[in-house]
Amino acid sequence: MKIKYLTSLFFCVCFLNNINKHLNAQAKVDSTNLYYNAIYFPHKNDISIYHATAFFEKEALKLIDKKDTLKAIRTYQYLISGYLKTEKVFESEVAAVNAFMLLDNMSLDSIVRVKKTRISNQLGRIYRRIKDYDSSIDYYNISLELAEGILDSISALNNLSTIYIDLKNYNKAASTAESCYNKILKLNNHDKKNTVLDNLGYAQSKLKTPGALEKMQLALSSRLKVNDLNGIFTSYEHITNYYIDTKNREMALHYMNKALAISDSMNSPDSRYKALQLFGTLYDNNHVNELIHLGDSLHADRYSNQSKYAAKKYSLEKSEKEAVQNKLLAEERQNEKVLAIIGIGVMLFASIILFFYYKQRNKIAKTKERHKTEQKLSKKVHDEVGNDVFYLMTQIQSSPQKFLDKNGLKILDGLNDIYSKARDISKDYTSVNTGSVFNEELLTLLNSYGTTQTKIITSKIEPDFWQSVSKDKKEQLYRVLQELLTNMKKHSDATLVAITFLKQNRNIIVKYADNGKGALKSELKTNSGLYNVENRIESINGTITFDTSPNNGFKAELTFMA
Amino acid sequence: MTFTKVLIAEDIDISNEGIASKLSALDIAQVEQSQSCDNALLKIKRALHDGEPFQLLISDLSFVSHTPEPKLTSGQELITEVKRIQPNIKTIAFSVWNKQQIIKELIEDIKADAYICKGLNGFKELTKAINALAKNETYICPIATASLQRKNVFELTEYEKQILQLTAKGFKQQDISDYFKSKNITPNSRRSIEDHLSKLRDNFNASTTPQLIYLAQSLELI
Repeated sequence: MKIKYLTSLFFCVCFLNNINKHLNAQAKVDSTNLYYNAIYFPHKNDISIYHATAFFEKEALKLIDKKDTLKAIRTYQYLISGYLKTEKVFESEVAAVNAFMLLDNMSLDSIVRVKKTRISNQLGRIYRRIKDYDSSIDYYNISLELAEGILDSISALNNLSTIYIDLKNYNKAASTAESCYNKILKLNNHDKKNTVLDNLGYAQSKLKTPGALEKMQLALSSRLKVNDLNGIFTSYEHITNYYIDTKNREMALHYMNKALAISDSMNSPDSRYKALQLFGTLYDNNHVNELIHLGDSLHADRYSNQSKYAAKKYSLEKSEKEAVQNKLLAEERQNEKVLAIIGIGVMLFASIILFFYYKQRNKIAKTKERHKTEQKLSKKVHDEVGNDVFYLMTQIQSSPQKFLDKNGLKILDGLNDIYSKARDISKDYTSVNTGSVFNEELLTLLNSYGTTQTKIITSKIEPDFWQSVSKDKKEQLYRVLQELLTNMKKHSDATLVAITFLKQNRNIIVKYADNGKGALKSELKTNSGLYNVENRIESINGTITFDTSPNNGFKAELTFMA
Repeated sequence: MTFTKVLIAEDIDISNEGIASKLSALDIAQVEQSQSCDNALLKIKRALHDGEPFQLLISDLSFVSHTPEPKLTSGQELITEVKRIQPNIKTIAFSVWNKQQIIKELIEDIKADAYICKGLNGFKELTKAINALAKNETYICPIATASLQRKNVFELTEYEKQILQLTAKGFKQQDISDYFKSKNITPNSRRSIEDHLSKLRDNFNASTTPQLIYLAQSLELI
């Protein structure tokens, strides 16, 4: 017993808990939804449309404060519809203009594009309501242009066809409705299908196109099936007009009565007004017609007095904004111009400074190079020519008789040695032809170091082998080989020297090998000629390796980029 | 013919005098001297104008300029210009240079009649050249000839390299010939391979083929 009680209590608690949860969830339902339904489905809702618009008015201001622009725009869209339904055309226009101004500040992405499409469409409807047909057509066309989805273009086309009917431009109405209808056929069960079909039928009936009535009746029967009151009323109105046009008074009266009856149940002053218009036409009562005419003009005046204000304000603000923007743009351009001029100036100045800096640096480097060359030259003249002359002089002084033998041939020999040395020195300092004859120049160099006792062997290379090599690299290579060969001549006693040139990918590989007496590797370090070689190769970003040992000749391999 | 009127273009006095004394020893009646190219050209033009043209020009190649803006600055330019205005004049280039290109240019392009390298035997060679030119021949001194022919340098061809490589592998001359025939490499007769090996031995200063291979390998040529 006790257990049973406890169990039921448990279930009871669970149940309550569940209800609680349910209630919480419901409380969380955004009030936005309720008010939204109040505007778009007024018959199914208890909340009045006026409350809804009041709510969204506040909501819009809050969202703008929060800078939640997209939500604010959506709220304005609800307001546009809400105001229009309650005949507050002016407020609706203001809402649309506000939404547009927010959209104008955003970059045109696909969301903004869709919003602009829909609000243009709504503006078209607003202007149709106040019979500003030109503006209405303009906005529908804007909407049509912006429309990316088929639904948006159907909506714009349908509205356009309606307005052309209003304007009694039935040709345009029919063609617009037809293109719209063709689009709708691609979709299934679209709720606009009946409207378009009805419009098409009505426009065609005015153009006396066969099958027009059938189209209107087809639309009517579909509308009756779904109990679309607005649609049914429009169908009745159109069909009544058709019978008036075809002078079938009986049928016209039949449908006029239906229109009157349904307008009575619709609680829509607009529809009721239109139905009574038909009544006036059919009964042709002067007073009634006058009343209708007066009503029409009063109706139009009322709207036109309050209309345009918002639109004007919008276009004024827009043009002001554009003016400000243009001014800003102009200033920006001006600034850019000034910046560009300053930039160019700075660059010019910098390049002038750089130019002189490099020129100066070049000059210093050249001067240094020249000094170095001069020092080297004077040292060579002193060491090689001067010493030899001095040596010869002292020898002649010590035993002049010996040197005068054989018509002074010994003196001549000695002098010839000195002469050759002097010539070699001058050869070292003449420029190298690094042009197309570079290979010839190299062979001449090799040949000049060869003798009958020392043969220089080289690999035969292609005529264009050196084409891709820069002048500087050729010159450095020439000097390096000159240095190696000088070294060979001075120290090696070699009888064979092999110098080969090879291209591997983009690298030039030069191999030097002789069969001379070689040297200790430690000796190489003190050799200034080889030190120069290393420096030269380094200056062209190349590498060089030496390989030698006593009695095993001397080898060098150098590599650099062609 | 014998030369009776000779012009020496040489910027260094001693050298100039040296040549002049050598020429007078050759019994040349009229020897004139110029220390610049422009002056030499002027003298040749003048002689031509007077109807007593020079028969021989001996010219150095490099000149140190004594005037601010010389028109002609080198022996090459002088000889070229002289040959243009007086094609029948004989010319000798007399220079310290033994560079192949310089010699080649003078002989082949400028059409100098002789090239002599200055040196111990310079004057001896100059005499030889004058004698050769008198017989309407050309003359190039031995040093210049060696440079021109580049006898001290030997260019190893791919073909010769292949012969060396195959010989090093143990191929006999007939084997190499057969191999070349199979690869369509010409020349491929046994005779021509023998000739090439002999030429290679000469150039490597090798007395035998094994020594040749040893030398080629030690120089990392194969």
